[in-house]
Amino acid sequence: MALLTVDGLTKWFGGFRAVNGVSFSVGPGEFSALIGPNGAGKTTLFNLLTGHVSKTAGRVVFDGVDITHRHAHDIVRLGIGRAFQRANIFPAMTVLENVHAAVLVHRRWHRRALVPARRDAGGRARAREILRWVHLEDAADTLAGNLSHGDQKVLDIAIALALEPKLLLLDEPTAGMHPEERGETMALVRRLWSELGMTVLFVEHDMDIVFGVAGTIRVLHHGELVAQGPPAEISANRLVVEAYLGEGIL
Amino acid sequence: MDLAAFVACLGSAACMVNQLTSALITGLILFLVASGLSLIFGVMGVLNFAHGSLYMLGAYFSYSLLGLGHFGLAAPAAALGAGVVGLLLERLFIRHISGAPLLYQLLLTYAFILVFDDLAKVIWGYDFVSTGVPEVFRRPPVLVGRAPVPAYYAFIIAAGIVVAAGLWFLLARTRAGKIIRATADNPQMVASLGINVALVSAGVFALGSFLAGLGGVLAAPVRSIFPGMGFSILVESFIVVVVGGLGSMAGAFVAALLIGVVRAFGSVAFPALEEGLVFILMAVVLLLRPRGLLGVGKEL
Amino acid sequence: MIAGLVLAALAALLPVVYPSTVVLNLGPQILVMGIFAMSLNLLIGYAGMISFGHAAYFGVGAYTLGILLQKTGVGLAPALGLAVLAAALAALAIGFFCVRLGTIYFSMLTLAFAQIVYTVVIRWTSLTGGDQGLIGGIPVPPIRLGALMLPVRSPLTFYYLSLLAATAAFAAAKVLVDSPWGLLLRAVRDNAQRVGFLGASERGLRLAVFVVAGAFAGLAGALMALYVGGAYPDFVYWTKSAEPIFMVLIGGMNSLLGPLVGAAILVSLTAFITQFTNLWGLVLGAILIAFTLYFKVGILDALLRVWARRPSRGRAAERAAAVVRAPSEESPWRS
Repeated sequence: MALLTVDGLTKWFGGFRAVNGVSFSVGPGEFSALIGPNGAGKTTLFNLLTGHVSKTAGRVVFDGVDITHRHAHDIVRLGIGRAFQRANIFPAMTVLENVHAAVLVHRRWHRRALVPARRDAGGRARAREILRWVHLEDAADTLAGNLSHGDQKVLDIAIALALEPKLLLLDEPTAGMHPEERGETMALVRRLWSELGMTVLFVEHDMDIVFGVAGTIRVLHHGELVAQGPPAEISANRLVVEAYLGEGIL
Repeated sequence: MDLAAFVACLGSAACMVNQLTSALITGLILFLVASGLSLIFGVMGVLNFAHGSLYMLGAYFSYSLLGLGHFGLAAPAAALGAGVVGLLLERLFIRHISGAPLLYQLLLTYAFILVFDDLAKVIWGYDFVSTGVPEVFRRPPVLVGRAPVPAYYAFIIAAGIVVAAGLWFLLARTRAGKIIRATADNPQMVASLGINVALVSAGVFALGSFLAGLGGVLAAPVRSIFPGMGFSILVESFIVVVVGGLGSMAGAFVAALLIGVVRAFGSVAFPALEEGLVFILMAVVLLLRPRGLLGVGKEL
Repeated sequence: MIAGLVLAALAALLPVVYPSTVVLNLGPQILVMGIFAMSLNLLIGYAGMISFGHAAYFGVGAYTLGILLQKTGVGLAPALGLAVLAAALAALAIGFFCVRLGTIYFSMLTLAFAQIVYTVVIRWTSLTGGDQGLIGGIPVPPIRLGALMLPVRSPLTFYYLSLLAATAAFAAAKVLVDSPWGLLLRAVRDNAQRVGFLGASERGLRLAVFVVAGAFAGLAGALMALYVGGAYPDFVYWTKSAEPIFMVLIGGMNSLLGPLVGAAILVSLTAFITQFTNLWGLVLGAILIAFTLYFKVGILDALLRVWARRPSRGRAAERAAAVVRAPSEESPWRS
C-alpha cells in the first residue's frame, strides 16, 4: 500500500495557479526525487503536503489517514518530516539544544517547566545519537548560528530526524554547498534511506546527483506533474527535455 | 449609553453635519499621520515610534511660526520643518541600524520619543500652549445646508482631502511613486536597477515625517499643544495600521475615517466610552481579520 | 542559580554590615524594579517578544493590591497573591490578542493595549481615583512573625521583604528558563516558524510566557505600591514601560540577572540625575540611543563574555559562555 497518495492536488494563489491537479503515489521505502525548473511549484507542493498552505482542491492520504484538512501540527505528528531550502534552525542555541528541542517536542515533554532540561539524560542522549549519525557530534556545543552553511543544512536534517518521520521531504538538501560538501550530504541523504529505512522525497537541481542516486524521478513544470519514472525513462522523455529547454541540464 | 441622543442626532441635519465634520477632521488628520507611518514601514521596514513626536513638532513649529507670519507661509514651513527633522533622524541615526536586529530599530525610534518630549519641554515649556484659529480663518462659518461649519474646520477637511489625493497621485501615477512602491516590494531588485535605495529611503522618511508634521500643523489650532501630545496619536496610528493593514494606503485611509466616524458618532451614543470604542474596533478587527481590512500579505 | 543565591545572601547581610539610608532607600527600589525588568526580559531576551506595554501588568498588580488593602479586609499575603493573579489574567486577556500576529504587530499592540489599561485607570475614578491615584493611600497591616509585629513600611522590613520576594521570583524564573519549556521558548525566539514545523504550538508558548511575565510584573507592581503607599496612573503610563526596557538593554538581555544590573544602574542614575535636572527622559533616551547605535551589548553580558574568554576557567567559564549567547550573523530578531 502506498505511504503517500496525492490526488488532484491544486493550489491557486489569487489568480496564479501554483499547483495544478498533481496526482502521484509514494510507496514505502521509496527514494525519489522531485525536479523541475524554478517556479515549477515544488516548494508549494511540499507546503501543501505538510499542511502549511491550504489546498484549493485535491486529496492527500498519508499512511492510511486522510490529511487533506489536517493542521500542520497533526501532520508532523503523523510522521511527515521536512528539511528546508534555507537551513531552518535555531541560531542562538547550541547544536545539541537544537536537536534536543525537537526530541522534547517529539516526546511531548516540551511543556515541562519544573525540571531542568539539562537533566533530561534520555533526550540529550538521543540528540547526541542523532548528531553522531549525521557526523555533527563534535559541534554539539557550538552555537548553531556559527556553523558553516553546509553544516547548518545537515543540522536541519538532524532536527527533522528527531521527530522520527516515516516520510522525509527534503527541499534542496545540497543548495548553496560546495561540490565536495554536496557529495557528502547526498551520501547522508541516501543513508537516511539505506540505513534508517526512511521513505525520502527530495527536491534537487543538480542533475548529476538526481540521476546518479534517485530510484524514481518526478518532474514538475508549471505546477503540473509532467513525468514520473526511473531515471532512464525521464532522461528520454521529450516533455521533460522541453521543460528544461535552455537550461542545458540534461 | 445614550441611544436616544444618537437617534435624535441621526434625524437632525445640524447634528449630522456637526458629527460628520468632527469625524472628517479626526479621520483626515489621523490619516495624514498614519499614512506617513505606514509608508515608512512599507518602504523601509522601519516602525517609527517617533512618528508621534514629528506630529508634535509640526504643531510646535506652527505655534512658533504663526507668531511671525501668515498662516499660508507658516503652516507649510512648519510641516517642512518636521520633514527636515525626519530626514535628519534618518540620515544621522536610522540608517545605521538598517541591517541590525529588529529590537535595536524599535528601541532607537522609541528612545527618540523620550528625547523629543523633553526637548519640547526645554524649548517651549512644560505647559499647554495653543495657537488659536489663525487670522485668515476668523471669518463667518461655511454653510452646509443650513448647518454652520467653522471656516477652519472646512479648511482642514479640504486640505486633508487634497493632500490625500496628492499622495495617491504621487504613489500611483508618478515615476517617483513607482520607484517608491517598487522599493517597498523588493529593495534588492530596485538597487540592481541602478536606483539609489538610500536616497529613496531618506526621501520616503522625509515625506512620511512631513505628513506627520502636517497633521500636527492642521491640528494645532483645534487641539492643545503640549510635550507628549504625540503619544496618543501614535497609538491611534497604530490602531489605524492594525485595522487598515500595514503597508496599505487605502487601508489606512478607510481605517482612519472609520475611526473618525466611530469617535464622533460613538461619543454621542456612548459618551462614557469614547476612546474605548476605538479600542473595541481594533479588538474586533484583530479577531476577525488579523491582517487588517485591506492588509497586504507582508509577513510581519 | 548559585550566583543568584550568593548575591541574595550578600544582599541580606548588607544592611547589617553597611547600614546606610542609601542602601535601605535604593535597595528595595532596585530589587522591585529588578523583578519588573527580569519579567520583561523573559519576553525580550528569552522569547524574542518585544513588548512596549509591560507597565500595564505592573499597574494592574499595584492597583489590585491597593484597592484590596484599602477597600477590603484582605490580609497582606493574600492581597499580594491576588494582585499577581489579576496581573496574570490581564496578561492572558491582552496576550490573547497580541500573540496572534508577528513581531512588529506585537510591538504595536502591546503599546496600544497598555494605553487601554491606562485609559481605564484614568477614567474609572470611582475605583482607581482617576488621575490622582488611589486616594487616601494604602493601609498596610504589619507582618506578624510569631510574636513580632513588623511594620511593613519601615525601611528595614521592606528591604528584607523585597529581597525575599526578589529571591523567590528570580529562583522561580530560573527554574522556568532552564526547563524544557524554557528551551522551547528560546527556540520560538530563534525561529518560531520551525517550532511550528516540529509540531508544537508557538502561539501557545508565547501566550504562556506572556502570562508568566505579566504575573511577575504584577508582583513588582504590588510591591511598589506597598513601598510608596499608593498606586498612581504613572504606574501604567508608557514611560513606565520604558524603564524595564532600558534596564534590559543596558544590563544585558542574555540572563535573568542582567536586568537586575540594569535596574541597579537606572535606579541609581535616576536618584543621581533628578538632583540636577528634571529632564530624565532626555538622559534616558540619549543613553538608549547610544546603546542601540554603538554599544549594543548589555553590561552583564559584556562582563560575562570577557570572563568566559579567560583560559583555564573550566566549567564555570563554559557555563558563562553558554549563558552569554554571542550574537551571530543570523540574529534572532531579524524581521
